Amino acid sequence: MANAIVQGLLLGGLYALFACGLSLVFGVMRVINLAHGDFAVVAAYLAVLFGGLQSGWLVVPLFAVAGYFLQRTLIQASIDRGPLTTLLVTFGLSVVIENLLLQLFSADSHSLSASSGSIRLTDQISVGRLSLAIFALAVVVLLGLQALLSRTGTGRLVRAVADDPEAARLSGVAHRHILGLAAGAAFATVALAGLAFGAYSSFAPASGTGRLLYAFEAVVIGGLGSLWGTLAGGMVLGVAQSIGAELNLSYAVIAGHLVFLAVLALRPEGLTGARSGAVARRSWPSLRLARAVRQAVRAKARQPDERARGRHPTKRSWWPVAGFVAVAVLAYLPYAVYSGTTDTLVNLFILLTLATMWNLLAGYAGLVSVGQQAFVGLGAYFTLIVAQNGMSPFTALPVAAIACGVAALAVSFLVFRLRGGYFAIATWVVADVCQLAISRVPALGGGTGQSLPGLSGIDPALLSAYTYWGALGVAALALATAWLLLRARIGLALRAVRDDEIGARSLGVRVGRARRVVYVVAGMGCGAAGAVLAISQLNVEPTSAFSVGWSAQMIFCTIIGGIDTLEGPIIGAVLFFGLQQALSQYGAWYLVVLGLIAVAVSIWAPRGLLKRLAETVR
Amino acid sequence: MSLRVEGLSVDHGQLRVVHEVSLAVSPGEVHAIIGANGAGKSTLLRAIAGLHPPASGKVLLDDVDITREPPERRVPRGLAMVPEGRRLFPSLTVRENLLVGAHKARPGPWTLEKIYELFAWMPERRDQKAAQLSGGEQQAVAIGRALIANPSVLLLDELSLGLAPIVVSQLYALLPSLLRTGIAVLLVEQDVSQAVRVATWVQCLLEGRTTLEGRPSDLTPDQILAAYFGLTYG
Repeated sequence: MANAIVQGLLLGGLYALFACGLSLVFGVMRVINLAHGDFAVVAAYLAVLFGGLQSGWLVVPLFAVAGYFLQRTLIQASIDRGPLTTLLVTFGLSVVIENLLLQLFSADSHSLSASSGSIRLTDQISVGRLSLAIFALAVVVLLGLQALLSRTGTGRLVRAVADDPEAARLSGVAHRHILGLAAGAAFATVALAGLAFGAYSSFAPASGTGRLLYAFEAVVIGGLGSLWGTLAGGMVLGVAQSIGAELNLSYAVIAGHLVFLAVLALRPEGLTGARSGAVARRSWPSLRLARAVRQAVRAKARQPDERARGRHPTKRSWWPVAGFVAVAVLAYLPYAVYSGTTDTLVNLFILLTLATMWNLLAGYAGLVSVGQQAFVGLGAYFTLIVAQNGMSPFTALPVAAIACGVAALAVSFLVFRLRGGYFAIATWVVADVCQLAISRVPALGGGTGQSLPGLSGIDPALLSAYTYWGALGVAALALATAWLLLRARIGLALRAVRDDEIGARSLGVRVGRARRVVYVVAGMGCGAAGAVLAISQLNVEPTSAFSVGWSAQMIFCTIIGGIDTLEGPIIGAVLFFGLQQALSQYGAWYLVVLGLIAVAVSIWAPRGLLKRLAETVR
Repeated sequence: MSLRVEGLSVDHGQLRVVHEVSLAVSPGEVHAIIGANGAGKSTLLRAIAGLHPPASGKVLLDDVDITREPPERRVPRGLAMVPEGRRLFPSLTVRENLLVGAHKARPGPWTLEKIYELFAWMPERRDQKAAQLSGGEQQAVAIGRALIANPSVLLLDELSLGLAPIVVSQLYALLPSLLRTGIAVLLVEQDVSQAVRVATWVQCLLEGRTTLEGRPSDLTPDQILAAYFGLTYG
């Protein structure tokens, strides 16, 4: 155990090394780089390409330069368009990088050989030279960053720009150049972290996600905005992981996640940090005033009855009619076309459901979740459990939806403590926890999954039709729910919150509750989609059910279709579906292309492709 | 002639906020722009500083057209602004705030030491974070941060905003010593009596248009009142 703790502390150095770049970019640019881990993995692959660790002399400066130019172009362009765009663009980059690496280097793992050997401290404890070197490197990098920021003139300008870019410009500071320099420094640390990671363990194209999550956990555990807190956070995470590994090798990651979630639940400001802006303040200063105002507003609103219902006057009323016609026509399809067609459409309906839910979350409630796959996976597994207990998987549709709603409600109390990009990554951690936990349950097929019982007795054609109707029903219900939700009082509240949160709060809008309702609804929708997925695939497998690819797809559909419109996800799902069919023969390239399209659309057509086309034509 | 603005129009989205305003400020002059809320004063000043690209018109500094230059390039040319609401860098110390202002400084009379002389309280509190200062102290640091760049034209946006009257008059009492260094001052002020007291030229804006201008001594209070509120006396 003592050995595990020592190893864990040293491992914390590696995590702190990962975390400081993330922390720097967030602190200065207010950007959460969701591709952070993937960039580190790129550095490791570059080192493989250039002949090993010693090429770090080339890779690190290369990354610094690349960081500068990336900031001056893509990242700056997305900052100019708002925080949502920065998340979308970096998430898109993450998808692009991961699949590009997959295409170029295959899914096999690589490693950078480093001189090994260890130092014996006592009979039980011996310390690897490499771990020690990485820890020392982390301390040096942290010291260096701190000195750079607090002692140099450029560091002073970086802090000035971070505080107030406009005021800095009025003092003659070329803010974009300064931000580029900060990004260059951050990318240099990313490269160092990637090299250290590659020397420490083997890596594969998909390793970036884990690195991002650990870096993020180290930052939050340590306390936002504190470099030394980050080291402490990394060490806590490292110790948690190595003690977890001591119990059972596969508990390592989940033990780290659990410590992170515990910190989030018990001490959201982190171990060292003071309460910071990124943490949702629990006691809003003007809350009492807001309550008083709200009561006054309510009392007033009660008098004219129509106003209390909060109808949005501009909403088109042809939606229900069009919806009924479309559903009726589509419901007839199994009688008219081959089952191949309806089977394909099932995937479209799943996509449509997911995109509609994500649009509610991000477009209306401002909750950018990249962890909705948690509910897709849980929905699939609830279906499996229902089927294992001898009931028809189709009865699982409502069960899965309700169970996922309950799960979402519980999760919301944890993840709602964070905002913006931190919220996004926290949802991702939760999804990872769900996947890891379920992979440990042998009754559910463990890591390899299990096929869904109870469907073999049904005639294939009939099963295909049932599945199709189930998927259609779920999609139609999802759209109807979204439509009703936005017409209700809560829709008005959400729009108010999106436009001006403080203003809405001061008028008595219960921001937290409105968001929680949306989060629960989205959890239910994704759960139902997961249930449809399980039925249509006839088996449930943890890595695909909990794949972050689900989040990527729902985000992509919403973005290209047009976020915060009801029709956006429908258009997006259809466009995405077409692209998917057209590009699927190209393997991982298709995800690279989709990622690039998503990045391009979120920068050049943030209102969606159709709107952009319409504007151009006009 | 230090600063010349010719027919400047500025839009906020589709709304025109400043309509073809012209003005000129020479060294040693204090040009005050007065007007009610929403008259376009601050927008005009932001456009002159380069923060808000104008729709049409010209901004000339020492006869060089700087209309299309970003604010950070106007500073080394000799144009500095004290923004509305002070806008210090809260996590930086007093000294660091001044040093940021100095990093593109032109040669001239103002140095860190001179700023410390101008505000006697500052040296001993130079290592305090700007966020810990009072409003008046912050405004002093903001003035120091602009002065240290040695501008030939100093823009002051709503110096009196949120400050006690006594602090405001202390700050305005500094103006003569600034002017002696050959600086030109363009200021925006809601407090008309304060503006009229210090200015060598007063220009009144109403809904983005110049309604009155002249030497303070040539203007009657009634004229100013009428121009300020757009009243016409029968």
